[in-house]
Amino acid sequence: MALVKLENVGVEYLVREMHRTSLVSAAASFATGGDIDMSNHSKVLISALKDVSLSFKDGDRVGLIGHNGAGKTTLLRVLSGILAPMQGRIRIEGRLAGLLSIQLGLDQNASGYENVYIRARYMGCSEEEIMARFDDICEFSELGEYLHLPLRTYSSGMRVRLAFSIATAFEPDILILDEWLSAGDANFRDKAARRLKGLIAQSGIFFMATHQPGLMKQMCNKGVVLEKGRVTFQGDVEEALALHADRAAAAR
Amino acid sequence: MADDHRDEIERPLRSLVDDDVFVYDAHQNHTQYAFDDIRDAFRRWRLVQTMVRTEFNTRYKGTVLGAFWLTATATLTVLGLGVIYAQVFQTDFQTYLPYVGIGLITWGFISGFVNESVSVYVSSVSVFSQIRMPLSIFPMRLTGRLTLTFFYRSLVIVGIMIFVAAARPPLQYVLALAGLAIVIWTGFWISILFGVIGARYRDFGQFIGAFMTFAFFLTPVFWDSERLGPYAYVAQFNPFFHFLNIVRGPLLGLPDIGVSFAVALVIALIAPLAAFGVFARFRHRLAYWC
Repeated sequence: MALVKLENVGVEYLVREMHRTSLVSAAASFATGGDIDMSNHSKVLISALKDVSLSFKDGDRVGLIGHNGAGKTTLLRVLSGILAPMQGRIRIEGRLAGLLSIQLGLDQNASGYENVYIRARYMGCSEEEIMARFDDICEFSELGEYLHLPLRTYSSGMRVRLAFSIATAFEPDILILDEWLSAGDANFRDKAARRLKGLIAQSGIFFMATHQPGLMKQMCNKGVVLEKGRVTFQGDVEEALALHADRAAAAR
Repeated sequence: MADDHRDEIERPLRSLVDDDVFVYDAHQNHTQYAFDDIRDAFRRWRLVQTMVRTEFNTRYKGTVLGAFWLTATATLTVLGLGVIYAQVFQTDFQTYLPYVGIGLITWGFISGFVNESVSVYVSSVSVFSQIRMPLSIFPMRLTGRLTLTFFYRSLVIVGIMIFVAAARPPLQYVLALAGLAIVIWTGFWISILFGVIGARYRDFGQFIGAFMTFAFFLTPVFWDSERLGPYAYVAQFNPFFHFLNIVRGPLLGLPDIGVSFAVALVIALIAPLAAFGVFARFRHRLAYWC
């Protein structure tokens, strides 16, 4: 039983000690995204999320839609429990996995086998869980004898394969992806996609932010449109994507 | 009810961190969240162990001695300073070496906490901004690394106690270990306190760095406070001296360790209160500051 509930969530980033000279460039770089308050020149406030209220239950596959800087990643970080919002309440029931950065924690000098334990501990898995999934992870990575060698001897593709195998081995109730995870060569990529789809299918609630509408239509049934930190639409994913496309066209 | 039953069966395979319900309200219960944070960090001691081992592996990768380089370095420093300053101060090498040896190594432990605590959050932002993690795990990692570092260096202390210093009654060794425990306990809380302050005010870290160099010469590490003559009492106002003295004092049978234990214990009680207060108040801001 999974449940995600946000009530009036707000996130503001304060950029301190900014000088007038740098204001122009900062304003330009954020022009597409959040709402920026520059009334005070020494403290610039960026409202990354404003008054966001959302509620999701089992079976919801949610796609986050919005421009760069509209607050998608901030929202994912709030949902993952990484960023404590400055206003509002959160309630999350169910085990959550935020796969925002799957290589984080890997030790270059430890072997592939050791890294399975290291990375899984970062994810908060218990030792019993890791032991139970260990063989599956090693087998899925197809790294064979390489698992005995330190990670620094791996190619970057092999590293991603190992990280992917670990990240997708533990089944959460709530799954959060910033972008679609992919790994390895064509062959492995198919296998990885199947595994990720399986993981999404078993999860209660799934969140994803991607700029690929096709993928979002395929994986999600609900859409949330974010504009300058506010939720301007939530409902059916097709409608959300259409709405977003219309507004983007109108703005152009 | 069916769900409860399923939970029963799967219990051994549930994760360590998530109580399955995560509640956060931006406007209340921060004390409770801070408490849960510290409890979760203790529960994930395996991760702390992993982090400390990774740091050691990275640092001593490819060396023959590995972490025993810490022991080797400490031996050279202690012997060098012992020989030279025994001459400078015109004291007996046999009594001066244990004094400066244990002093330097213990000082390194104490000052390590103060120096490195200020960057505990600033330097680990790449971790806690990417993955959900109790924020007290980083002071815990620092405590683990410094304690392990001290362990390798303290082999020199063991050598000194066996070959140079006079044997002490067993109780004195127990007291020294108790002193060490107080240093570790206080060090952990100081890392939380200074870590949070250092994340908010970056000048604080620079200030502490400057201050600790000064504090090294101010603290009777390689000189004896008796040498100050009528001003010997000045050392009594130096908290670093007392933390040094609760480890070195019992091992060498120095006088006044009672006062030092009293002062250190008082600080060891105040530090957690101050640290927890600050942590509870600002824990949720760390991700914004770093």
